[in-house]
Amino acid sequence: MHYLSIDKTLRVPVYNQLKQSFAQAIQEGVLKDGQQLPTEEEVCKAFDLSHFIIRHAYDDLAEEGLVKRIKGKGTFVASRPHYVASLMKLSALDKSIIMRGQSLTRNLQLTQIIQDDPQAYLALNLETNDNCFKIRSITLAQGYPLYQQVWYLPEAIFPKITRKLNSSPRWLDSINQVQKIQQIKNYYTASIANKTDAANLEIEEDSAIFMVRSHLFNTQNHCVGFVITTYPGSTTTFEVSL
Amino acid sequence: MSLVINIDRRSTLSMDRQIGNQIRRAILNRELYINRPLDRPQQVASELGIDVNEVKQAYQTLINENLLVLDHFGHYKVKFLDAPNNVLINFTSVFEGIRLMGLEPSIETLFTEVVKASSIKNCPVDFKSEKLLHIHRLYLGNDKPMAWIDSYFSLEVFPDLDQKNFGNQPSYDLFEQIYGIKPGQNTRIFGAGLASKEQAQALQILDKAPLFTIDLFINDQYHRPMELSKAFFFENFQMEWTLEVNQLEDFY
Repeated sequence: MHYLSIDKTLRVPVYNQLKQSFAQAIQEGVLKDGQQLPTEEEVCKAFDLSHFIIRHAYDDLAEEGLVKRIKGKGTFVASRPHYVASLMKLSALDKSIIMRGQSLTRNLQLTQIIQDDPQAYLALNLETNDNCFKIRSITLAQGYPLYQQVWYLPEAIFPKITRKLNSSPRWLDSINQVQKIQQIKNYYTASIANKTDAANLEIEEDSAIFMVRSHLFNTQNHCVGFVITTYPGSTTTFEVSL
Repeated sequence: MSLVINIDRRSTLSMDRQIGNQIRRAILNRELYINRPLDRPQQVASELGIDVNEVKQAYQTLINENLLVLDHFGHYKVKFLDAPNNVLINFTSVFEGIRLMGLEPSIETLFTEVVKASSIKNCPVDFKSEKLLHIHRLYLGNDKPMAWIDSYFSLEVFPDLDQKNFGNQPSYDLFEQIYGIKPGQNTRIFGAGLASKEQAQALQILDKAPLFTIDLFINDQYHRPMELSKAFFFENFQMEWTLEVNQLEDFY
């Protein structure tokens, strides 16, 4: 329990200090995935605290998805990590995961040519029967789905784009080689997971998802690419500090 | 409905897709605001000289996309709300945010109580004020509930705030008038959740509908923690953030 730090002389509630200590230990990897947290009794004795305070802190950590409580067994670090991303710097989440030395992989799940999609075709100003690439990928962090992306790229503008994407770590770079992107409009919204989202993000169907719809505009201000990115609502939040 | 719908009979797009696209574009371009009623399908079909089922199909597609709703009286209304660029990201009060969305804002205070900081879940460590004023409010736009906000204000920063008549006015106006306090540095955490029964009832939405959530941690201009709030925005709320050419590194 060396990672726990309690100062009873502070005006900060002890339960808050306890919670923060556990949260920090989990985020810094001191407490590993699946590792059991000390029992309420152990923390009570070590810090001379009431059971109520520890239970309160553990309940909060469970609600935030950092730990899971298994009846009769104890409290364990939840194997699925929680991520706080930057709302304005969407790429920062991937970078921070890599910088922490954690694994980040993108799996190309589906590539197809479609001829209709109400939302994408309106954004891209395409007509029914126009060919458009629909490319779906899942990005995994530490083995768990971090986000799902569906890219819509008109075939007339990007005739051989799939080959380029396959060999490129960053898809926007490949797109930029064909069409210079001048501006990206991102629209953030809350939604619920359909069957495909749920299966790909490994979450329950009808659970909350955070969705980012991105419109990619070229130098002539034409929308040439449309991307839908979905994150599990339970494990990802987006921060802005001003 | 002031929106004039045109159809091109030579187009490869079906009638319902043409109608749907024009209404969808008008909603997303903020020409049609939330609660705006659309003309009845029969009227649109009659004006355009097409089968009423084409219009009904277009409206149904927009209902499926959560852009329209068919109310109990059989009226098709806009259900979607699009926040202009930077609203709620840059520092704007929710009250002003609703006004910037083109709606008339109002507030309904549901209750106020004094609580201890230690009783609040997820209370940040630096929020040292022992007593806080808990205010639970509904923010409305054109009389429709838009956001459910639970706020905790520091009684150290705002002495006797619990004795003031908070009424239904925007809190920041009151703070500036009475205390000379303005919001300063702040952190906002955006997320997605599902509506509880209580929230669904207050926001007049379905139980377990998706909600856009914002946690706010706000300091005053003297860097003292003054407010902790959690806001739940009704479903179909959308927020925009644009990346310019020199910011494309910030994209995926």
